[in-house]
Amino acid sequence: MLTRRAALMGATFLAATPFITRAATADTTMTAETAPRVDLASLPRRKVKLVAPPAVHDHEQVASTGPEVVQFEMKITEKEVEIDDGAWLQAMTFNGSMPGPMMVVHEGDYVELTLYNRPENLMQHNIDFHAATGGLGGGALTLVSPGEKTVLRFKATRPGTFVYHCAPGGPMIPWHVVSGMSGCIMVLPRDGLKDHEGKPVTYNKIFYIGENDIYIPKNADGTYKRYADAGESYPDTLEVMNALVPSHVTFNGRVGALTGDNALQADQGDTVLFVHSQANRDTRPHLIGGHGDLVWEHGKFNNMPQRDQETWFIRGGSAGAALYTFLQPGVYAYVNHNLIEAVNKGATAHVLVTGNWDNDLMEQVEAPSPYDAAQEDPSALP
Amino acid sequence: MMRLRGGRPGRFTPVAGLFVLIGAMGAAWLAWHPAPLPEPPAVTIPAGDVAFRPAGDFRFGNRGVNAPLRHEVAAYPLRAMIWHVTEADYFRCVAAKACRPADATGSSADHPVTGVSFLDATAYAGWFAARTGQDWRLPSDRDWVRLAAERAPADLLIGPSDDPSRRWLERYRDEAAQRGAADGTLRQSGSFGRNSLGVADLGGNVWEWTTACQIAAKVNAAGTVLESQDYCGVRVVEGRHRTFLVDFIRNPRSGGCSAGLPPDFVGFRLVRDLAD
Repeated sequence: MLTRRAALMGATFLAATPFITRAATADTTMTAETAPRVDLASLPRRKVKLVAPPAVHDHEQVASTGPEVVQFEMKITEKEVEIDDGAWLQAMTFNGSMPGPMMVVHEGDYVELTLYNRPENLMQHNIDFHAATGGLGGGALTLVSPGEKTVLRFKATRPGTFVYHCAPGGPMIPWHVVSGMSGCIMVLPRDGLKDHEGKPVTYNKIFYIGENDIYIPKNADGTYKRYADAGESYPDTLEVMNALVPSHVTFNGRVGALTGDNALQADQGDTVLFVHSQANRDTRPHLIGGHGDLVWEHGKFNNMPQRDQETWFIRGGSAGAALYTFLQPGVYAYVNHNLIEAVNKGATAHVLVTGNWDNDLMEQVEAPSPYDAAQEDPSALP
Repeated sequence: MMRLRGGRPGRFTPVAGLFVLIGAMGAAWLAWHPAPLPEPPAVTIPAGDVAFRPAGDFRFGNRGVNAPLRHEVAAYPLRAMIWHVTEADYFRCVAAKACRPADATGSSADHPVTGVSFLDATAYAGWFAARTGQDWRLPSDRDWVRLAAERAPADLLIGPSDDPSRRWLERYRDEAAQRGAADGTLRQSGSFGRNSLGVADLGGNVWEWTTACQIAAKVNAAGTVLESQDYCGVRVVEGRHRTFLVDFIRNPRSGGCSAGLPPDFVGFRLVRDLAD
C-alpha cells in the first residue's frame, strides 16, 4: 500500500500533499524584514541546552545579570510513540518529547529560538508562544517545511508560566496540539518569586508536568488502531477529536511515565515548584496527601499567589505553578482530580518523598480491625 | 437476536415429520450430553512440603509485619495446566452459554484469554470441570506457589525501619522493581518458556487469578496468627508480582492507581488435585 510517507518522499510529492497545501495558507505567514532592525549587539548572549521533561534545565531563580539574549534550539520530530500499552500515536513533538522541553528565562530577557523541522518529517510546523507579543505568538514567522529551520526572537515582557504550541493553520492547529506539539516557557521575575506578602520565595526542586489529551481511534473489536503515518491517522483521529472525549490523558506523554521506576523523587523539607501545562483542555491538578502552599493558578507571577489550595484549575491553553514544601515522607500521587481521567485515562504521577514520619501530622491510632457491629454501630461517642 | 418467522403452513407429511422429530431429539441429546472433553495438557506436581506466605495485612499490635511463612504439606499431587486457558478454550464455554464473552483484546485463538474477571474464570472452571468430568478449579495461592516453583516472585518483606513512610517507600520501590516494565502486547501461549516443572508462561505479561482472598490478621510476637478474617471481594492475582484485584474487574491496566502497580493482563489456568 502506498503510504503518505512514501508518496511524500517520492515523485508524486505535489499531488499527494493535501495537508501541506492546506496548512500553507497565508493566514499564518507574514514577513517582517522591512521593519527597522533592533540592535541587541550590546546584550550578552547565552546558549541553553534544553532537557526532556519532567526535568528543567539549570537556571537562576534570581537573575544575577541584566537582560540577556537566551538562545535555545528545538528539533521537531514526527514519530510513532506508544502512549499506553497497545495504544500508538503518530506523535509530533518539539525536541522528541511530550510535552516539549521547558525554557526558563527572566523578565526582560530575549528568547531566541532556532526551530528545526527535520527533513524526514512530513508536515509543516511552527511555534506560537503565549509569552510572546504579536505575530500570532511567533506562529506567523516560524512556519517551516521539512528540512527547513527558522530563528525567532521575542522579548519576554511578562513574568509567568506560558504554554507554547504548534499552530500551522486551520484544522492542523488542534490536530498538531493533540498529537503532542506543546510545551511551556517560564519567565521568572528578575528578582525571583514572591509570596502573598511580597517576600522572596525559592524552590529547591522543579517538576514540569505536561498534560496531553490524546484521541486514538479504535477498531470495531475495541483495540486501538495503528497507522502507517500521521496523514493516514488523520481522518479517524479527527472524528474522535470532534467528539471531545480523549482516549487517554497523560502526564509526560505516556500513561505511567511518572510512576513506578520513573516516579518523581523528593526529600522531606524540599520545596518543589510544580509547573503544569495543558495546551488544549482544562485540568485540575491535586496533590493527594499534600497541598499547594502558594499557587499561581493562572501562572502569572505579577499576581498574588493563592494559599493553601487543595486543587487548582489550569485552563486549557495555559500553564500554572504551585509551590509546596513536603512536610511528611511517603508516596504522594499528583493527579488531575477528575479522577476518571487520573485513574482510567492516565493522568497520574507519583512523588516518592523520603524522610522521617511525623506522628504529629498523622498517626494510625488503631489499625483496621474487626468491630462488634451490635456494640459500636449506634456510636462510640456520647 | 433470532426472530422466528411465521411461515405459511406448507406441505407436511407424517413420515417427514417423524424424521424431523428424531433428528431434533438427537440434536437436543447431543447438546445436553456432548462428548466429554479430554484432559488438557497438564503436568503433575508431587505432593509434599510447601512453604509460602499468604497475602494480606498481618499486624502485631498496630504495626504491619510480614505474613508468617507457612510450612504445609500438600496431601495430594496437583495437576496444573501447562498453558493458560486460551481464547479458543474460553470461546467454547461462551458458545455453550456457560461463560460471558471476554472483553475484546484483539488477540487470536492461540493466545491466553484475558479480559476476564475472577467471576468469569470461576464460571469457566465450573463448566470445564463438568465437561471433562474432572475437578478442575482455579488455584489457591498455595497451589500457585507450587506450580510456579522457582518462578514464583520473591516475598516482598517489610523492612526493619520503625518509620511507616520508609517501609511504604521501600514497598513501592520493591514492587516497581519486581513488576518490571509494562508490556502491552499479548503473545501466543508458550512465548515465555517453561519452568522446571514444565508449566509455561509464568513471569510473562499475563497475571493469573487465584481463589485466595485478602487476609486481615493479628499475630503475636512469635508471628503466630491470633485472629484472622478473609475479605473475598478482592482476590490474589499472581504473576511477576503479587497483587489484589476486585473480583469483577476484567482489565487491570489503567493510568495509575493512586499507589500500587497494576498487572498488564489477567488470565488464568486451572488445577486439580490428584486425590485417590
